[in-house]
This record gives sequence, structure tokens and C-alpha cells, in this order.
Amino acid sequence: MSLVELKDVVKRYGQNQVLNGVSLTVEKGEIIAIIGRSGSGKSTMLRCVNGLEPIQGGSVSFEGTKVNDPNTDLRKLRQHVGIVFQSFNLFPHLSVEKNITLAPKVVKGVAPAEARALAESVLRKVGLAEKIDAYPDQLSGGQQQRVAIARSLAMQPTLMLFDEITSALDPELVGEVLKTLEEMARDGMTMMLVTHEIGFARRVANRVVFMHHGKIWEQGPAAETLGKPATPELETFLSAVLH
Amino acid sequence: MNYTFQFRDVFAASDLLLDGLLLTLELSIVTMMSGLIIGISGAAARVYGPGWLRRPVAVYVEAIRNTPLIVQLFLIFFGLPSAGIKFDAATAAMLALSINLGAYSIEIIRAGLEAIPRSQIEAGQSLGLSGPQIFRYVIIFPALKLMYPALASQFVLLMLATSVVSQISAQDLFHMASIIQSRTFRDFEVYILVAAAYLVLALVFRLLFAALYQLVFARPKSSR
Repeated sequence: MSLVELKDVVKRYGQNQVLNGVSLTVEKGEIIAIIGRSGSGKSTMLRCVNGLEPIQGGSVSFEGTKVNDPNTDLRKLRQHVGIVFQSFNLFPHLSVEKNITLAPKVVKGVAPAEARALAESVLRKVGLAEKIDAYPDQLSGGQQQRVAIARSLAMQPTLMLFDEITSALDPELVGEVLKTLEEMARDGMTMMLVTHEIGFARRVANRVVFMHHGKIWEQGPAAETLGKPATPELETFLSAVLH
Repeated sequence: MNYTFQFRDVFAASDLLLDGLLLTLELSIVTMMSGLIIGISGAAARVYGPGWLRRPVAVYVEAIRNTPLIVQLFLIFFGLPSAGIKFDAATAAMLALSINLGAYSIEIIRAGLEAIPRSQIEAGQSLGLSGPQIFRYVIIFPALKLMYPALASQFVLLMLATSVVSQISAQDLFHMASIIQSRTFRDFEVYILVAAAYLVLALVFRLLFAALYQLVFARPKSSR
């Protein structure tokens, strides 16, 4: 059984068809980079995996559980699927520690003393141990994004989704976030990441998925697919991004 | 103008004024607390509740915000007894004021809830939090912080508006002033004094609200 399985997924916003029959499987330990123009459906596909987007056709499953089945306990499923957003979405009124420990405490029932230790340990992973008592607005964008990653890690997810997590950052802050991702990749985390960082995708991802017009237009091993695109659409896209 | 102020008779009745002041304070504080509770739960129902609940809450809010407080008060105190429901003046006053402030609070807090970006809710959902947990831990605090100035000023307005309860003979500050006036005929002195009392009360409430903000919403400086 694959960790994630999307079958003929269709997603519409009114008349606007965003996903046009997308099928994709992800195995445990894989790192999948999803690339494509804006509007090609990459983020939408990612958000279908943890059920943030309801779908109109096809199916999405995680560890064999149907995400789009109304009887599925999405809260339970989401404890195993972390997601990091483009705009961080930290809770502004909570300290870094509270941001990280909120879900472990109220969802998993972790005791307060253990929760603090948990926060310390995930913050060390993202290199921000000293910021445990800071508030989000006292941190740079890059630091906020790393805290958001730590917040997801604290739930000990099986799969991590990253939705253009460096797109809202100043260029000089992108590196620190990508470095954190690379460390997670080395630890064997299964990751699906929507990204515009082609160089990073080539270096870290096992597989690259190119989306176009709401479809998976082309996919394959990262170096091969990015080095020798099989479709003119990917070639055009890459030359536009890399120029 | 050659009016000579004579406060002596008025001051002699100051224990009455004090009694009235106490009822005004009690009415204000109880109403603020019930108004806040009605406001939070009503706003939650209005924004996140099921359809069958949203409609009646909206009707309540609009009905109250578009009729005079004194009419609401009279409906409860003079109207309801015809249906066999009787309250003493102080209870009727508290009820009418709470219902009134509750409606305004719902509308204010609703605006705060709607100002919280959808992405905050998604972040909570993605961490496995339930709807009520998201409301309690993610949404309500920033929403109240955002609307605090509007809420505090509505609460002060309410305190001033408690003076209408004298119309059903609830023995509040203003009612006591009227009694003293009818005894002493020192209208000018009495109403100057009572105006000063409301002014001081309002300022004290504003100070308290500012202090409460610092206590609840302002971030401790040491966290820097």
C-alpha cells in the first residue's frame, strides 16, 4: 500500500476546473517536488491530501484511509499529515512554545512539562532553540517559517506537505528554510513540496511532478526530468524559471 | 445670572445618592458580564453555528439594535406581567440591559471573528484541532483583542444608559436624584452632582478597562 494515493482527482471552483483527473502515488520516504506555473493546480492538489480542499471526483487516500470519505475522521488523519503554508500561519497571540505545544497538548493530551521538552527538541531541529519564548512578530520571516515547520514536527507526522513555503520570504532568508528541509529529508521524512526552487528540487527530491492545466503533465526522477524534459511545456516552464 | 447654589440640603441626602450609585454599579457590572457571555456565544453561533441557529440570532440582534432601550425595558417590566411573567424593578432592569448589551456585543464580536483570517482556522484544522478547540485557542483571543476598544466603549455607554431604569422605579443613581430633587427642589444642584457622579464613574470604568487590557492582552515585556 502506498502512503498517499490520488486517483483521478477532480476539483472545481464553480465553473473553474482546477484539477482535471490527477493521479499520483507517494511511497514512504519519498520526497516529491511539485512544480508548475501558478494556477496549474499544484497547491490545490497538495491541500487535497489532508482534506483542506473537498474534491468533486476521484479519490484521495492516506495510509489506505479515504480522505474524501465523509465518514473519515479528518482530525485523526491530520495528526499524521503536517502542512506548512506559504504565509506561515503562526498563531500571533501565542509564544513560539505555545504555538508548538498547543496541538500536542489539546489534541494528544501531552502533559505541560513534557510539552516544553517537546518544543525544545523540535526547535533544536530547526535551529531556533533560543527563540522558545519569543512571539511570532519578533521573528524574521525565515525564523517564523522554521517555527511553523517545528510546530508541524511536534505532532510527529508521517508525511509533511509544504505549500510554497519560501515564496513569501526575502531572498536572503530562503536558504535557512531550505537547509531545514534538507535536514528533514536526511532524517527520512516523507515530503511533498510545492516549490519554485528548481535547484533545490533537483538536489533534494527523488521525484519531480510537473503540473500543467490541472493535470500531471510529466513526472520522473528529479535529475532526469529537470535535465531532459520530455514535453515542450516543461521545457518552456523551466527556461522561464531558470532563464 | 444671579443664582445662588445651595448644596447643603442635597448633601444631606447623600446616603440616598450612595444607595443609588451602588445599584447603578451593580446593574452595570452584572450586565457587562452577561453581555460579554451573550456576545461571545451569540457571535460564535452567528458566524460558525448551523443555519437554523444563525437566523434567530440575527433576528435578535437586529430587533434589539433597532428599537429603543426604554421600549425594551417597558416590554419586560410592564408588558410581560400581562402574560403572567413578573419581575421586580431591579431584575427587569438587569434583564433588559443584558438583552440590550448582548445584542450590541454580538455584533461587535462578530466583526472581530470575521476579521480573523481563514488561514488561521486552516492552521488549526491541519494540526488536528476540533472546531470548538480552534474557537477557544486560536480565534477568540485575537478577535476580542481586536474589538476590545469598541467593546469597552459600548460597555461605558451601557453604564450611562442604565439611567433609564429609573423609569420603572428601579432605585438607581438617577432615580435617587429625582427623589432628592422632589424633596429639596434644588434641581440644578442635584443634577450637577449626579452628572459629576456619572462622569467619575465613566472615567473609572475607562481606566479599569485600560488596565484590564494591559493585564489580559498586552504581551509581557520580559518576553523580548
